[in-house]
Amino acid sequence: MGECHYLEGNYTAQKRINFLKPLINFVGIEKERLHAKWVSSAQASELVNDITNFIDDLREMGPSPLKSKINPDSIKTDRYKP
Amino acid sequence: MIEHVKTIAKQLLESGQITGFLSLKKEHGQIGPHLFQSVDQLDYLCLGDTTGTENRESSTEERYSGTVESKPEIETNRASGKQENQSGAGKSRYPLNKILVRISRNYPSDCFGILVRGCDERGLKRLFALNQLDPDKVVRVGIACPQDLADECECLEPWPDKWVNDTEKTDGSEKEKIDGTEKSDKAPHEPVRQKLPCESVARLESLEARDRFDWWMEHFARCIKCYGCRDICPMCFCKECSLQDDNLVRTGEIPPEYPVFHLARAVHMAERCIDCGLCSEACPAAIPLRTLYKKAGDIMSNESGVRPGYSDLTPSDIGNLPQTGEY
Repeated sequence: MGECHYLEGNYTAQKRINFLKPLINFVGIEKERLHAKWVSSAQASELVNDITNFIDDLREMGPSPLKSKINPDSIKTDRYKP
Repeated sequence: MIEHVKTIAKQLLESGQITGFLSLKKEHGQIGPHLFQSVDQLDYLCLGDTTGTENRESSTEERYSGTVESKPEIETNRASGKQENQSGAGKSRYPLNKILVRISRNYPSDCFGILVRGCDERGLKRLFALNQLDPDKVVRVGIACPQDLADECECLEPWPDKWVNDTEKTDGSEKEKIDGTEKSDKAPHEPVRQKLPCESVARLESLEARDRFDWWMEHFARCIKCYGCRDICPMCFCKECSLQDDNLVRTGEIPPEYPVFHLARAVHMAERCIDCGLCSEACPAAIPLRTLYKKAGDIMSNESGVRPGYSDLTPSDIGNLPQTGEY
């Protein structure tokens, strides 16, 4: 942290990640689907490891709920009264 | 209360301190925002819709009845509050701040008065912090919201720092801000601070993630992409809107690319949303946007210790989220 090419860029990124995780969790997307890790260009193996682990985690979780398409006809309109 | 507001506005206008007083005007039975520039116009000044609230409220209640359980205690409050508040603040709220931003962009050297509620003032504070308005060019005249409206909004602070006092007869009297501890004898509302998280947020959080997803998707799928939430939002002042950027949200689709459209807005509003709830009110599809932004506000206050609008901190204190209108 703080050694970012864009100076304080990774602090900014971390704030956003910290904000986004609970937010996507609130709309029902598992927050584990968002993952951030800071690695330098010299830590190739660490990056590979991390990504492999992340992929394993994602496989375990199964497909994202976002993949399921909502059928327009199934949208309930009876709840909505103008 | 309305007489006091008129007196204050009159004094301000006569002294030449302000060029105009931005408030609501009632004419031909219609209420709308109006910039009062002369004293004789002030007869038409009004503080919101007090008579026609019944119909309006029932319709809003119905719109949400399927999604948010109607609360019986509000019914009783409403019934009792109606007689009391004939001269008080009405329920209908308008994005006066948004109009003020536009006016002062065109007349940067003039000073304007504005009628503020709690949410409006939070908005003003954020607009000051984001350099959209000059604090020296704005004179605030505060009014507190009626109790039933505050309950309905689940508002944490339904009054501005200073508001026109209803009980004191001296004209132009304004009360100092009242701390939460002294609320019982001075504040205009009994439940001063609502519990956090708010009921609407807590109810959703109690659901399973998958149910929550379905719940939101069902709402988002109704979106007709009218941009009403953005257009009414007093805090939306960007010259170029990310929601219309084809690279961020695919354009020309209905319903819009969900949940990206709504989440992109939620993220953008993270340091701005002052929880006025106008987006929810404006939404023709009755999407409970306010609940989403309330949660965003909760996250902001957890992560950074600051809830937008509730303090005078600058954007850099809150984090390096987008700071200006151009990005």
